[in-house]
Amino acid sequence: MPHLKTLVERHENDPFALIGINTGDEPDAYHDGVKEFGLTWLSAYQGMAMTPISDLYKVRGYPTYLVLDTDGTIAYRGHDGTAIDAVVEELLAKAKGK
Amino acid sequence: MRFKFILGVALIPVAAYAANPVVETVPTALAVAAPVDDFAALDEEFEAALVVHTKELKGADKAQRRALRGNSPIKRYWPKFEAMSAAGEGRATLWLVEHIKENRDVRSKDRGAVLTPLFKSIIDNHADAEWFTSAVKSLAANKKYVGVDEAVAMLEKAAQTAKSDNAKAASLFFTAMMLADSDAARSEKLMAEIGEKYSNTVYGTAARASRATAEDSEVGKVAPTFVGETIDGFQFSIEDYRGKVVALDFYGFW
Repeated sequence: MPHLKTLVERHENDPFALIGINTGDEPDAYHDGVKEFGLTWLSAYQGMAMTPISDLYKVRGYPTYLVLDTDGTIAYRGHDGTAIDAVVEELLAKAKGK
Repeated sequence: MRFKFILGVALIPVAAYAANPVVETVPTALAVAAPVDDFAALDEEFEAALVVHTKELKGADKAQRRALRGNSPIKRYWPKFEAMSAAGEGRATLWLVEHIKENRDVRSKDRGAVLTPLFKSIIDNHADAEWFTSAVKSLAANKKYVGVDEAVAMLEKAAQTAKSDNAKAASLFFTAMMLADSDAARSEKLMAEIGEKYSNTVYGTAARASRATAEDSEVGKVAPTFVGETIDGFQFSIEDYRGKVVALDFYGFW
């Protein structure tokens, strides 16, 4: 989480967005988590009953990260939070070069 | 979460009023036009009684607990919501449906007989209400008591009467879920239709999720579009983020 916060801050002025997809937290635990980790970015809350977005992406383990290019193409999928930094940098550089 | 918007509406004038103590005279027209929301008031009263009740239970011994349970808020307030529901207040009907499990006077074997007319009344009279999707969700959650055939029949009707795309998609989605075992072909066809026709809704996303494969979201593919909802009910589409580099983080705090 602290690492994601840094990532968001570093690309504050870039065409970049981090979107969280929360799964499996009760509302109270979710609110506590948001406060504790200082979540400032957009986050979907799927609740306990249905997990449509996780199901759509066949997410089996948590956390799972995907990085999407500006046209929506999936450039990275995996579980390594630090690995996404380089992918984001690269895609942003490519977008700026256009 | 359920009645937040209702309370919000009811509280805005009060809050605005309190923030402006300078205004001493209220225009008569405004005072007359501001309606008293009987339902919101009753619900607030019930929630407050519940807080008191829970506190009292904590400090009580066995005999006191029994006495307290015999006069619980749900027992006292049930007839009040029932009367309001009978007078045509749909939110009171939804309240009954959503609190029936807490009402020990309705035994679980009688639950279906109590619930069915309540759901029917909501579907016939309140399909344009902002909270209609909540009623649809509740109906699906109570299929065990209402009976699957009856639930499917009511959901099919709800899909027709519902005004919002989200409520329509929800009605069709739960219909498809219930038909999954008994009529798999129809269920799959329905899921495909919902996924296409209502892709702008959370249930459109859920419908497409039921047919997704792992290959759809591997590296090199275009990310499947979805509609997400925040804990406050704000809906967003991933399609709005085209033109940006996006990192998706599937996580939990647990």
